[in-house]
Amino acid sequence: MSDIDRQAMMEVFTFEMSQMLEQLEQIVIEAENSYNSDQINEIFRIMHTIKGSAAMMMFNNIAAAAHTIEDLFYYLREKNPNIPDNSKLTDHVLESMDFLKDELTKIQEGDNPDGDPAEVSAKISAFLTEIKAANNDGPAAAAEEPAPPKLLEKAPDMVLENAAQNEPKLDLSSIDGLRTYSATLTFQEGCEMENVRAYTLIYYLKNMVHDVQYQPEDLIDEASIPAIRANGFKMEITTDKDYDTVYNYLSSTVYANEVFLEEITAAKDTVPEAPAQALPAAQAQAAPAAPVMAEAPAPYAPAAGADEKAARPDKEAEAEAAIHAASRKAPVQSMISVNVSKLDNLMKLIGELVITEAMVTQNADLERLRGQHDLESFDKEARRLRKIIQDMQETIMSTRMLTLSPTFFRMNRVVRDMCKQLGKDVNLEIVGEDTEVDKNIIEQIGDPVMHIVRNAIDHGIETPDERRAAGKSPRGTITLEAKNIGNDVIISISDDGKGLDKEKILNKALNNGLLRKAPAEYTEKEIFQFIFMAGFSTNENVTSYSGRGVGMDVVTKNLEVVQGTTSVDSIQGEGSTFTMKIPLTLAIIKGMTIKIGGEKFTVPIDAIVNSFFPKRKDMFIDPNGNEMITYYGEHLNVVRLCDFFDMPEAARDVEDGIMMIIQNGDDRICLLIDELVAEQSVVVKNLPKYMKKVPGLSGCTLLGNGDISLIIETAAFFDR
Amino acid sequence: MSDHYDYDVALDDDELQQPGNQAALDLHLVFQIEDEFYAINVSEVADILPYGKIRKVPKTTDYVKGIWNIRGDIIPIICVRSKFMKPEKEIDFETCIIKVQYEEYSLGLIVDRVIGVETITAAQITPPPSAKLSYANQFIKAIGRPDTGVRMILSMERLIF
Repeated sequence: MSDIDRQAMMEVFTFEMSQMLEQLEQIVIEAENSYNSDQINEIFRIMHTIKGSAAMMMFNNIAAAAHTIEDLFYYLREKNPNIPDNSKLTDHVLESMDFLKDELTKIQEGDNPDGDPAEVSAKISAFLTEIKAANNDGPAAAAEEPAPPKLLEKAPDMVLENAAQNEPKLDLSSIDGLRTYSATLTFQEGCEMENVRAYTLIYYLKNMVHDVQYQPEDLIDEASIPAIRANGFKMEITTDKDYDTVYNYLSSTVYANEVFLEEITAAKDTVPEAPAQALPAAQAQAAPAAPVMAEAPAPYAPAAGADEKAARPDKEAEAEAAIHAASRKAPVQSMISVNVSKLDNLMKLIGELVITEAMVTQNADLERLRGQHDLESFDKEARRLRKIIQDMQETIMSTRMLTLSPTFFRMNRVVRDMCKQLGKDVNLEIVGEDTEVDKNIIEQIGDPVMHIVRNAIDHGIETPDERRAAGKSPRGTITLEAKNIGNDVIISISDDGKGLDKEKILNKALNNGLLRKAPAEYTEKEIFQFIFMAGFSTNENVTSYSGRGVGMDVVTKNLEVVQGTTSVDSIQGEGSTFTMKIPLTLAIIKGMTIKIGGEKFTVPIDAIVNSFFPKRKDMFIDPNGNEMITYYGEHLNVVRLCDFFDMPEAARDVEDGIMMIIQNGDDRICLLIDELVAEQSVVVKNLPKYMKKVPGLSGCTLLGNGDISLIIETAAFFDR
Repeated sequence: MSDHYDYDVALDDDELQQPGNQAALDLHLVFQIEDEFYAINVSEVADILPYGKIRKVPKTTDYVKGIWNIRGDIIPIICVRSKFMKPEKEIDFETCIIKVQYEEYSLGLIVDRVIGVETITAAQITPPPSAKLSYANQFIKAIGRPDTGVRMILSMERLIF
């Protein structure tokens, strides 16, 4: 197999494995204290699949670890024993899962997964023995029952039905157009597990040919490996496909080295009666029946397939499932996995398309023509084009949207582990996990959410005793909530713990020399903001979870990448709420282009409530110098954008300008601007990294004529 | 951009890319600010463009003149004159923007006039005087003395940060 093929398989493998591990974790946490048979089956199935695909990819340590867990759950499934300590079972499973995860990370980072599974395996095995002992099912008793799927260090257990030997033979020669080929396939040296690879090949081959026999027959037995290595894997294939098709199919086998394929024309007339001791090439039809192939080969007619399948031993079906999963060829697929870079590229292209559309429809040449000709037809088609581009853009955006549920549900594990270790009792409530956000954003918020949850458990929630003393229910609650507001996603994490200690934070800030003004002048919000600074932790004791002062600054850093903001609200004794506000997508927004002092700016349309011509008589100024306006009985603060951006050229008299009401959550303010230009979709580009963050600007965009417009960050005008 | 043109650089890109091409390493782009001549290594130069309208960005340092759109790339523009604390000069037909690439930053430098590409060999380069007398002196990495005259070789890092 070429490197590229392996790369592709590797991607599928890591993708699947991480998904399965996530699923597994979910099941285990859900089950926690009582495993029902569905859950046991599911865990067994997942472990089996992991084992199979890991063995395929030659990650023997992963396969071995998965195997021991599979053994354990096989026993649980078959014997349905009383489990003495359910939570211990959960611990063990989680521990081995961590091992698998670590190995997976190594693979993803391009390292060799070289962890030693012996330790986890030993623990699981010991636990299995324990359960057996508790159920009076000692080694003696265990020996009688059908042995659990025996794994062989490397290969998934597989049994091929050479059992169907007694079936009546189908007269293949009666079917027109059938040809028989003899094939010998050699594997590349050092590819390992030739028997498994051969099994896989046969498995698929059966679906496309009428009959196939092979040698060595017992592929389950590792003893067949040397034979395959020495003589190659020999097959006799009866099919209606032509030579090239068969040859190409065989050559495409993973790790195939050489393929010898020969059509046995004679076979058609004489019926493939025990062909040859060695099938290679020419002597095939002439040679006498050889001992190895002596039994009449069992044809695998498609019609007989279904019954046979049903009759097959369970284990086989499982092996089949493993192979199915490993090769991702589920019969009906409504989902496909796509490389993210392709989606990124698509996103970039649609961005270009949006700009180009504007360049075409606002072209200067066109404007010149407009004076002389009637462009009605052009305009109509241009509108249609814009509509299609818009739909396309929405569709592309939606392909990148993922729900937050994996991110949220992962926290179950964090909560569980920490509670166990810290002796706290916390209930995690999850609300709005179906909220969808852009994939890039999901990647950035996983860590922040985790750090905040950790912090909430470690610093926020008290121990059950403390809680009882404070008159609260001994069980703490952490609520993870996500919702959409306008163009933003709001993720809030609230706990009912002891809340933030303002004094403590202020003192710590004082000691670290972070204060810039007199301590008394700091508002609550400003004080809480300190906890997001690097190296800031008020926890006296460093625990394994938090206290080292890393963590909360990760929150701010990650959120900055996606242009999100964080804020904290806290009432001492009642708990705290961390709120993260993140723009839904980063790439394309609908904006209103406006002019201030001759320069163009873009305001996101979702923030705009409406615009109106202000009257001088409606304006008034409070003693602090804040300008306000009365609009339909409502009093709104006014921000003159020209002052905010230090642009002296703009309109000074309010009656020369336009008021634009913008909102942020429930708050509204008025912006004074010079002129409204047009509404259009714009592609958001970040300001060059070299420039410092300018308050009030979130980025820039290119307009149809190539001009740059700066995008106004409306949130900056609130909470000042 | 139709109004964009390239100055002919003595060697084409392929030749420049060749490792160990000493002739390429010695090439410097020479430009003029007031009466002085400055040089930067061509490896740091991405493009030379005529001055165009720059979009001002509010609340930035005064030597950052704004941002500019070069074929879809938005780059910040720095005025070398104001960085050197020299009075600004009116834009004329000789004013150029040199697009430079330093580490992950891409930016444009406004200069009075581009002279061209000159070869300054290692033998012709001497370290700058140790005493930092003038403000602009801190931007200078070395002094080159090719046959054409004195060229102050700028340190890109110190120039843009």
